[in-house]
Amino acid sequence: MRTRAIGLSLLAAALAVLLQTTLFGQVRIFGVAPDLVMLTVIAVARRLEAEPAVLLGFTSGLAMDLLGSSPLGLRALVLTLIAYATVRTRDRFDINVVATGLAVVLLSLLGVVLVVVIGTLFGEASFQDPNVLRKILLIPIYNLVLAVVVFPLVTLIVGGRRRRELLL
Amino acid sequence: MLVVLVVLSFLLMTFDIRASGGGVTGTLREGTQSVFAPVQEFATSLISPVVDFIDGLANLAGLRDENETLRRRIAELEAKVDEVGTLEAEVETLRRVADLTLPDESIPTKPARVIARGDNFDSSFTIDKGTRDGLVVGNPVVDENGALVGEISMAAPRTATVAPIIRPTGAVTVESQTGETGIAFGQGSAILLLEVNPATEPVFADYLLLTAGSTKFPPGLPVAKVAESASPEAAKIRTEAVPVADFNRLKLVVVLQWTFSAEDQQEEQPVTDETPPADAESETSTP
Repeated sequence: MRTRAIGLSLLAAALAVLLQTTLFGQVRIFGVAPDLVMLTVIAVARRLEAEPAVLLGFTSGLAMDLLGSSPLGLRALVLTLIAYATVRTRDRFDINVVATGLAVVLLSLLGVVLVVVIGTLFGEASFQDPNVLRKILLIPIYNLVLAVVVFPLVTLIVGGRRRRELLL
Repeated sequence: MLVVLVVLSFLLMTFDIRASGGGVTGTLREGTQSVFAPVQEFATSLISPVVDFIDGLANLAGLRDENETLRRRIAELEAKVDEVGTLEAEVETLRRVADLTLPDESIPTKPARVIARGDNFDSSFTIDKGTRDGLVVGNPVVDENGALVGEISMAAPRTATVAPIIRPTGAVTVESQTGETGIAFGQGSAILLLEVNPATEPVFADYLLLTAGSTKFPPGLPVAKVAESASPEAAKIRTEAVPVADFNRLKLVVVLQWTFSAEDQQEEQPVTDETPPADAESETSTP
């Protein structure tokens, strides 16, 4: 069961990477696209145990790094930290829809800020982008909207294992 | 586990930066992109109608300006119903590419399709041509109308990554209509920062900026149009410029199989009888 959930999570992350680099590479509203990979990592980390969750965050981020041109390891680091933050806080935000939505916004915001800050430290000059503030603000909002579709889908694919475990 | 992954990430970043895109990390990138390219190519062909539809919705505000484009798009969609439109559209685009006239017609060109893009903080994109097609790192890339887009920053056998001029680390030596040379700096968005130093003449809005000819790009390629007029202040001009290429809608690009050679420099010298601009050496658009 555990292996199956991890396998399906990896599949979901791979699909998210594919959509991020193709569909959301072209569809940008107000010049900004949702960060589907980050959202998928948050959604999956709600359902997995801590170790597979952070590993999945790292793998998804590394895939994005390998397919882009930013420093290798930047998104791997950020998504590892986001997966860890999700695992540590999921019991607090998995109580109702509002709390979950708020968590998506805050975790996405944290992720975007980390990409900008760590990216700048490693020579990406993200702060020079005049749209940096718009991106920081819009990505969490887009992720919140997309979470309405992604979260139930991930629950359907990966399963509600964690909830059942808690009940047991 | 968390600590191991965090340390590993930092090590990867350090190695990648020290290797400047080459070495083991560069090989890893090339390998991954080669493996992933066919999947991305297939996905891009599948989602193209969806993208066009969403793109149309997103640009409702500029409907009047886009009217002509939409009419053409409707015509394309109608043709698609007959399962012929896709080919017709491709033929049209390829015809534009074939009719593309460059300042230096002796430069061989290679059309390529954009198959993937980076995320919000990575303006680079991947094309479906690579070293197997004769592309090398440093080859300039233009759009279907000949406007400068960027340069190849990484080339795998079947794909290549294009570092666009709008990257925050991008810079192009440009020449204005008055003949003054400046540098257009990328800022990560569709606005370039133009610096002319020293400047003697003012620049006016809509002035076309062309590549001045340097070790990175051949001369005469359209780069941007000056957005705001500006006059020299302390012999320096600093203003904004809008790139000629539309980076949000790039689907097909043309790679110029050109790299700077000492012969080019020798050919240029007797004509200009000047040393190359000092800022040309500082021109970078690498990741």
